[in-house]
Amino acid sequence: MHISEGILPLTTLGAGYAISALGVGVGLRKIRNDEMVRTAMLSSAFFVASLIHIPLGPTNIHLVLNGFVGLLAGWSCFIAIGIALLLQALLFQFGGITTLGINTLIMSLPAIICFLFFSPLLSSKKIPVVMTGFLCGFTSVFLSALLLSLSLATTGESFFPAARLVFAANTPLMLIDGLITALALQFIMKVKPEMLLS
Amino acid sequence: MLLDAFSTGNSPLHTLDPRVKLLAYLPVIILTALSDDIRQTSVSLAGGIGLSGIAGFYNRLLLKRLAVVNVFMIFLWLTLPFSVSGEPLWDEGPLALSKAGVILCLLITIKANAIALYTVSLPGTSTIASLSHAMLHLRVPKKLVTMFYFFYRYTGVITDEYEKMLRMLHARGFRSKTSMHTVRVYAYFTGMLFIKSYERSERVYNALLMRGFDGQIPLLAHFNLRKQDLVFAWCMGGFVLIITLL
Repeated sequence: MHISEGILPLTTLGAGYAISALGVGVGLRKIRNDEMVRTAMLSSAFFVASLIHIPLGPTNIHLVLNGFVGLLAGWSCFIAIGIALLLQALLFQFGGITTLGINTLIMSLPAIICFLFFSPLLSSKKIPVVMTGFLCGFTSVFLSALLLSLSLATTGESFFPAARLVFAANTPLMLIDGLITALALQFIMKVKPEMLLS
Repeated sequence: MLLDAFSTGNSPLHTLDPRVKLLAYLPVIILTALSDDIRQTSVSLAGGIGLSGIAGFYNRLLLKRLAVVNVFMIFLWLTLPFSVSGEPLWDEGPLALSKAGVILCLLITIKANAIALYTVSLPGTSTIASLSHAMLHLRVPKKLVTMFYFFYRYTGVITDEYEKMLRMLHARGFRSKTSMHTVRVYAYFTGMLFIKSYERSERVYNALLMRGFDGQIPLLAHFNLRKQDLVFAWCMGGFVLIITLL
């Protein structure tokens, strides 16, 4: 989910940078030295996991997992997602430098929301882990697609159809990301629960 | 996986001071991204094509990277010409292509390609290590740069893990298809990938701690500006001025 260069107006780009800078700032303030390496390598795993392509009929889609990263990184997720997007913008021409702020916002804000909402749910064990995972994966991609469409729509009325098209194209991803997050979360709860409950 | 594929080479751009390249890069891409004038953006695109030529990048890899940029453009070409109102270019039945819509698409496509070319030829011609170093000199928060560097350093390692696990899956006869089984396998695969990165980060942190890590990597080498860096900075400054005045 990236917006490429040259589309959005200055106000949207600026707002994206402002809010993301705030998110990164809060993350940097809260992070301890021992979490720096962990978060950076979590970001590597997030980056590499996007290489996984799940076949879907004649086509395939690649994972986003921002909700999952939210659960694992907590308040540092703006940093974890931001540095991955910076590298993608610099080396692979995915997204871009002027859109780095807004792209980070689109992926990280839903991740933070999922962290705040689903992390307590996960530790309270009120509903099964698989259920929490599915809702977390689904919600994060849903919110990201929504933010993506909304920011496209700020460009003007002529972008409304493109915004709707982009949202619709992301619906299968919500389900797949939900399923993968559900099962991956269940796996981690079984194998290495201290990753989630620290 | 070779991450910074464009950073090896010995063109004049590769040997420039990365600080100068970053400082020249930002104004030119911001100007290009915000311009609504087809002449300004075309000149900028020409500049990008010229720079990537100087860097010696006229090859298949560059075309592959530009193809990535243009995939997103397909969405726009499919919708904008119909949704922008204005003088029709072609009117048949329910579909009416507007001239303004086509021009807008063209403008965005030019901008995106121009910026991609600058990215490849300016920051792209430095290694991530020296870019991180340059970012520290340009007062980007130290913790952030340190984490960016760790992230870059270990992405290669995690990619190796990923490839090893994938080989193992295939050796055991896994074939991916549209099924719940595939989803389950990839979910456990993803979980394992995150667990491996977590466990390795513990070992890396312990090793760092033993070597006196205190949240930042000290700067040892320093850049110094040479004559060609200043000449390049003046040229880029002049170019940005020309675009602004157009």
